[in-house]
Amino acid sequence: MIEIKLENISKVYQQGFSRTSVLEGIDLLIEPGELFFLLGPSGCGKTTLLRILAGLVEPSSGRIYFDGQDVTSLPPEKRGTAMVFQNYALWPHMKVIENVEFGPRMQGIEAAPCRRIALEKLAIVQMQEYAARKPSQLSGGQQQRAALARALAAEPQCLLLDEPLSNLDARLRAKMRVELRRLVKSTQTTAVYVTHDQKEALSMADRIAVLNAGRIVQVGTPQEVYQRPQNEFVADFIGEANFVSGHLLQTNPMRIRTPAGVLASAMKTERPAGSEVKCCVRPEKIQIRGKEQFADRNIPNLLAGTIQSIAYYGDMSQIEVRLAGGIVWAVSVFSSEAQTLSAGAEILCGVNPSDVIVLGK
Amino acid sequence: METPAAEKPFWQRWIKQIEPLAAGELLLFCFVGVFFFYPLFKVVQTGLMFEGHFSFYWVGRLFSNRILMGQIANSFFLACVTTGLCVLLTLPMAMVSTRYQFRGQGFLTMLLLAPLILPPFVGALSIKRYLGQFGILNLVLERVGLLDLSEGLPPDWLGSGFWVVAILQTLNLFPILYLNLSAALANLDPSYGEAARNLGAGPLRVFWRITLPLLRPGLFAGGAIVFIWSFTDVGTPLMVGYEQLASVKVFKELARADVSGRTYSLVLVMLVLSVVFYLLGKLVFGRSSGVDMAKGASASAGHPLGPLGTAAVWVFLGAVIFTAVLPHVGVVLTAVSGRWIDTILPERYTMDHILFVLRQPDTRRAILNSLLYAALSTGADLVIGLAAAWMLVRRRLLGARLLDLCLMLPLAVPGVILAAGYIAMTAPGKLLEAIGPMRNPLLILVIAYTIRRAPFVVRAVTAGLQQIPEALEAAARNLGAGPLRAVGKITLPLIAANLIASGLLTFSYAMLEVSDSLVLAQLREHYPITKEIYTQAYSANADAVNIAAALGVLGMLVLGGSLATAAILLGRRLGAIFRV
Repeated sequence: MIEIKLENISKVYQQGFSRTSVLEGIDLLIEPGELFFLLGPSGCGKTTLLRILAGLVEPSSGRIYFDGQDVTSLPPEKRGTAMVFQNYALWPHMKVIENVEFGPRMQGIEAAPCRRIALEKLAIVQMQEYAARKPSQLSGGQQQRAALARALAAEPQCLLLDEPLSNLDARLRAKMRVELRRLVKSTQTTAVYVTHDQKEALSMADRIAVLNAGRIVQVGTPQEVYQRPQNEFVADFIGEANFVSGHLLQTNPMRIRTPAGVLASAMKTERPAGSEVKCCVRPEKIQIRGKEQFADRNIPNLLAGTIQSIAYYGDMSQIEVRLAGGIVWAVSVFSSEAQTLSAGAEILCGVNPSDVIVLGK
Repeated sequence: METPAAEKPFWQRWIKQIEPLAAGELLLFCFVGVFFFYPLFKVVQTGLMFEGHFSFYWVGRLFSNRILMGQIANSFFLACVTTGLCVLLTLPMAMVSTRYQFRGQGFLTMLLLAPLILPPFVGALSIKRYLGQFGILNLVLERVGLLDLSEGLPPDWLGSGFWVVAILQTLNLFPILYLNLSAALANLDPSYGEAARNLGAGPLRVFWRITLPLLRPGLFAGGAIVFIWSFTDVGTPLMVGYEQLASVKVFKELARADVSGRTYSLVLVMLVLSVVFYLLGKLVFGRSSGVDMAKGASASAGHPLGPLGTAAVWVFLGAVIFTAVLPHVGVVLTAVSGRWIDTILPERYTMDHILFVLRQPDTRRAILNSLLYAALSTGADLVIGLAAAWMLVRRRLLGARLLDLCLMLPLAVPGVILAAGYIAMTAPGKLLEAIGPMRNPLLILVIAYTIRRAPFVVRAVTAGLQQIPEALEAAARNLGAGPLRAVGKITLPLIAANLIASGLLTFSYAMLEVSDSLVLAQLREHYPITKEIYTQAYSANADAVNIAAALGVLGMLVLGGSLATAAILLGRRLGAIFRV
């Protein structure tokens, strides 16, 4: 278990006269034993950051500390990290057991104990019976588990996982999320996990760093980044969100005039009245009722609208509502509830002020 | 109105059911059967016949002949040395050129292919000039004060000639292995090495435990060609004057009017050894390591080298290129030298030799003969290559894989052995005597060239076809194009680069083919360029070597131009054609 600290890490690729900046000013502190996620869209620099941690890519500037010790210039084989690669990188010319033994072998451990460690780790991932197979004889899920066993067998200070579930089908991916978190947490190793899948991050992480265009835009627990996104990018990238811009009528408690109507928010702000702000409301936080069904019309955040369309997704349905000012919001409701509604119906949308998120600039 | 199918006569329905391509496949099998397997069978049969009966008499005599056994051992040792030298030279070169980025990379890696434009056999023309007792090396050593020519005879660096042959072969053949290794390295997912580094292996260990084992198929693919080429090379040892080799013995025996079972027993032993070495190599090195199963494999961009690293790479690659092109330079200088005796560079230059070979009837005819043989065999190869690749990649016909394998086999069977088979097949009194070397060898030479170079075209066209999604043709069919039109309008233009490049290579290699040409062209009016070079080099003419070199220069121009064009058209895929 180690603490990982990144200080002002940046990475620039220079080819001829063109310069591509991949990472800029990354500062991060990962607690010992934490399962930490780097989440962001393709090309945001998350894999580069992971490879910088592994020592496979040199940062252009900045320092990396493992438990306070500067490891920036250590070669990859001296870092004590073990990585699960996106394509698993299981060596095709070696059997599964030989792949798993590789790490302990490199640490100078004798053959017999190496074999014992490898079998132990294969047992943890329930792959013992495949030990004698070649990687090409394994399914995607089995390859993923073998790659994890290989990384675990090295008993690393830090486990690095590069989108390890991205090659699996949706069903297996959902199953492996739970299993992978259990396995990683049981080793008590600090782990850094890269993904672009927000569901994976929300369901598995202790904490998440959201990256965009080479910068960290928010760090927090899954609840924090989902419920209190700090900007439009995070709100939009993690889960679905409805946005509306407006002007602050009143501060603390906040009241915002928007084209759809006046919205109240329970959040605190230091911005003066009259400032331009953007509000975000999650689709599942909106209640839809017929006009007569809201008894008290004076409760805050009651917006009148017309149902444009209803999309059925099994247990849930998504309703598109056109509000005043031409603003269209998506609303998630249980399908049983949606049955009572129809396109063209005049409705009221209600939002609790604590669910109206006022985003930063 | 069309007659309903059921009412058509039996024969019409039957013909309609025969797939034209399947008929083509059958034809190709027949072609390979008659002109590849049958000659080999003749070699085996003649080697195992004594006084009209099956017998191991000749083979037994061979094994008890210490001189012949020594020659076989020498050939084997030569092939091992050449292959070993090639591996030692090309592994670091391929690693440097694929794993690092440096200034002038494209230029240097293209120059590395330069040796391919000169068969070592022609390069040997200039080797005596460099390494002979009064050669350039000794003159340079004297000039710098390391040697005193007035004190007795200077050292003869040629020695017996064994090492000169090995070095000449290495310098000529290493690009084949280099192309294979660099293609294999470029296709190797860099995450294999990274995973090992990440688990604690240092760079050397990663190379030894991960990279090298994964490179084995590429190493085998190129190594097998180099080994077999060297094992049975006739031209280079003949020109260098080192004749203690089985291949040279076979060549000399085949040139005699009465070829006995004794010669064929030697050819048979060489054939068996070639096949055994090939299979052993395949077993040890060539097994697929399953690299193809890697998902999301991506080529690494390469680590940029600083000024010092770049300088070191330039010195290393520059030294290899310099040494490799020395024979070329020697041949060119010999071709244009008016007087060159006991001096480092020619004293006088002239175009007389070049003009002479273009004007003199024998040499001019040899050039025209080669052009004709090469053009015909290239045409045949393109048809065969396109048909076979189509059967394999698009139609996946039953037996197409077997056909592909049969068409690849000539790479593993040396030219001189196949030529011996043709001699046996067209011997006086046999059915095919009319196309034999003593009558008019045009047909048999064209067939020999076609069979020997077919693998290059099949590989190149197959690679091209595999890269074109079938959906492109389907889209054309869907919009109303017939099958032939879809191929003509869509597929052919898309694989044109592969067709042209492999055609050019086939043409130029046919122009400078050695083994078949030396063995099968026995009357001067049918000589191709290579046999004319050999004949000129050993003629009594005072300018013999200069004229042979002038012919070599013309060959280099053809091969060099073709290779450069092929490299531009095919890019990195060029390596794919030099694979077994």
